Amino acid sequence: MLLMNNLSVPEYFIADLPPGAEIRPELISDACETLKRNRERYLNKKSISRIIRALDAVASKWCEPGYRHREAALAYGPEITRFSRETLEAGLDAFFSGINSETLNSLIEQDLGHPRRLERWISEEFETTMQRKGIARGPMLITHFTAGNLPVSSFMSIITGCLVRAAQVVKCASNSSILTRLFAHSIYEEDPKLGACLEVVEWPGGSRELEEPLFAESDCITASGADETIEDIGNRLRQGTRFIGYGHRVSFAYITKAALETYDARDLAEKTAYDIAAWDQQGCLSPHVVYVERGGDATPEEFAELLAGALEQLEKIQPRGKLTERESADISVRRSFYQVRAQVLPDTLYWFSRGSTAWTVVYEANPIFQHSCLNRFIYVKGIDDLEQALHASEKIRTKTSAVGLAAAPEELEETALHLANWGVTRICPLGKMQLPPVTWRHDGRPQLADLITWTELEK
Amino acid sequence: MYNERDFLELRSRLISWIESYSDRELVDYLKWSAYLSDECFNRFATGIFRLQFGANPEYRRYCESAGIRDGVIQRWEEIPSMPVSGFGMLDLTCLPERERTACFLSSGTTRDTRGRHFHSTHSLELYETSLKAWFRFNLEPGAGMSRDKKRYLILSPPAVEFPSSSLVYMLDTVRRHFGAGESIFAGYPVDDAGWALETRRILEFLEAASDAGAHLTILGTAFSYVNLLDEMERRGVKFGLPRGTCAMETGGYKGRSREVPRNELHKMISARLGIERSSIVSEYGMCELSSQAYDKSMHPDSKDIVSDSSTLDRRVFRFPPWTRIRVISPETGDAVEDGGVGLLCVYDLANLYSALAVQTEDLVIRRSAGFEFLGRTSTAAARGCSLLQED
Repeated sequence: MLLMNNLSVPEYFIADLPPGAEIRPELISDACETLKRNRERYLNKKSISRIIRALDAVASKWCEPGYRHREAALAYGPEITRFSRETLEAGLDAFFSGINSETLNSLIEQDLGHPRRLERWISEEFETTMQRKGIARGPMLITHFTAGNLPVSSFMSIITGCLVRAAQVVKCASNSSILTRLFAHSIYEEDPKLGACLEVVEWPGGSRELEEPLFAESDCITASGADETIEDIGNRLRQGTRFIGYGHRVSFAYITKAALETYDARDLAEKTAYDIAAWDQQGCLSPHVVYVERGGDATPEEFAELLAGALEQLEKIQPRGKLTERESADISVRRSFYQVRAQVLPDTLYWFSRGSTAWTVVYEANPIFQHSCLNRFIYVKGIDDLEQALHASEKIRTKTSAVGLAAAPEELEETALHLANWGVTRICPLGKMQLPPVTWRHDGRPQLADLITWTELEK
Repeated sequence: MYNERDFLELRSRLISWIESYSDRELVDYLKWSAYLSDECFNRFATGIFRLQFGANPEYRRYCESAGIRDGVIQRWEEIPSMPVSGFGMLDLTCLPERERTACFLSSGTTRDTRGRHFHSTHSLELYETSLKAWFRFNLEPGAGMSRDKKRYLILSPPAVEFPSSSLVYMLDTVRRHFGAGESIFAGYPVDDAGWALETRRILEFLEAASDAGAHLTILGTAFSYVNLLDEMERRGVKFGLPRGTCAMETGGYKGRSREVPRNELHKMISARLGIERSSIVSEYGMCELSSQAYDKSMHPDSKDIVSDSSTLDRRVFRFPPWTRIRVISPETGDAVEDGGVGLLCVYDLANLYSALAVQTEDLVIRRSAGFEFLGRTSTAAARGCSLLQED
């Protein structure tokens, strides 16, 4: 908390207040009122294209080395977020390089059909036939309850909120607001009126009296986090409040036999290593397990070894963050378990970083999906075919987010269709698992379309 | 190769050594252990390791994978520690099958993940020797001096009804050895991993003891205490048990009651049973070990030990002198210094017939020769439901 003061940012946001400052429910209520007023005054009068230009400008600044807020994020972020500077840098670069006018316009077009749909009556061809026009409106005030594991997911929430011209409160998990605040400040500096419709708050979980005004004032609430958190928030909503909850999701990678014949196994391993290392495996899109089909040019065991080598290399340029003792202990205890297990089941193999818990690869022939303890701990499992892998993953069927898929071109669509029919909502190449495009439909839901309300004008 | 005579010979030397400890020496051990020579311990440990390495092929293979080629080592710190999960997967015993008369199971979540600690009459005798010596010093320092034994209220079933639990066996042994005839076991098994309490019988017992002004010792798990105290609160019952009554509580909830932080639990015990907090002893033990650790001693001479000992809100656990601990940094695998946090590793000579070096899944803070308990790793909990699943 002390470090926050060194950021030398003005106290635009409640989360900027010095540690120990008293935050009372009235302060939150007042802030919500102000946000809504500012939205009426500024945001509703601003064209979407101007908002997009501002976001584009902010994103390109974040990509520039030396940009004040980026430097602050990289300087103070590692201590607070526990990602290494290099991991943070890679994650921020990957995120912001994908944010620009073109991608943001695509997002609106994808979700709402027309780039101007949020600003005026639009009649597309099918609507003209029906003698109808339509306009989409965003909520007055969105509160985002963010999980705090990945800073970029709260950035994306802010961006989507700006695009639908909603006032927004971002509620950060305790001690995790630093990057969100820096991003909010960068918006404020680029466009103070846009920034005036944004609030960032932070307090320890369970401070329910502080959250009450947010439930009372918001007409839309988004939340990401553990399933219990989502359920709890869902139970506290007022009638009529729109609620978008993103609960616990897991991902895995799948490599077909033909992929191992078509592509270089070492290259696939390097890409997989990147997916594991990105955000230290903390995201819903990070793989827990890599399924590798048997019978290819590299065996699953050989692939596991290549993956270990790739993780070791990556550790040198993008080291894993510092863990709490409890997190280290989770890895250490699990490693011991597999060391003993390897003695009982010789088809269990393992590769560990020496003298640290930086990375761990466990190979098992048993195909059952296994939750990793994260922080670069990955399972590799040999498999006969996709059917077997999906059968072994039945318990996460409704919890699966992404599959990083390596397949030969001729089998790609069929394999992906199989995954889609099973319930996977995002299928992407290896190396891209933590790089969803701006237009990504989060857990299969359209991000903007879920936020807006339609008004139709019939003739 | 298991050579019964070698084991028996070491066993009797070990028993003599344990029994030779006087109160004075145990007090000194608590006070000065960090500075005491451990030559004797080291001789035992390296000797026992050599026997275990030779007699248990599964343990030997584990040691070999840890880089120990033969059973010869110089220092006890070199002994490869066996993760507790190993007790669930390997046959960690030197005892030939015909001698295995008892098997204690850890309280895993599923049957196939539960650790197994095999015992024979010989190993149980050693177990009881270790248990009694350290229990007496910590909870019954007066035992044997006066003819009156204390009444024991034990919040578990007797061992005959619950043979798989090392804790129940321990409580049963304590009752047999230290308890007066009026002592009772007030638990009954409800499934193969837990028990419930006969509340009415307990309340009658407490009332009688209270009326008679008899000193009591109450022994139980945290979940049993919580269930009892909650029930007493519901009924609006309170006792002011006679001074000199003490309680021993051992951690763990396993979903059998609501979870209460230790300090809170001790306050509850104190408030509802009238037992002074300084007379509530916490115990740390596990099925994979044969010795236990306590956070305080009722021995009058141990009261003035101040350095790194427990206070009401800070519990420093101490094992007996025939054990050693190391606290291992989970990040680097190296032993941590005083005040450091890591996973507790226990070297227990009384584990003569199994594996004497046990790597637990418990995070602790090293406090001189003792430790403060922080909690069990979440992986340990997860292991039961998923890591061992076969289909």
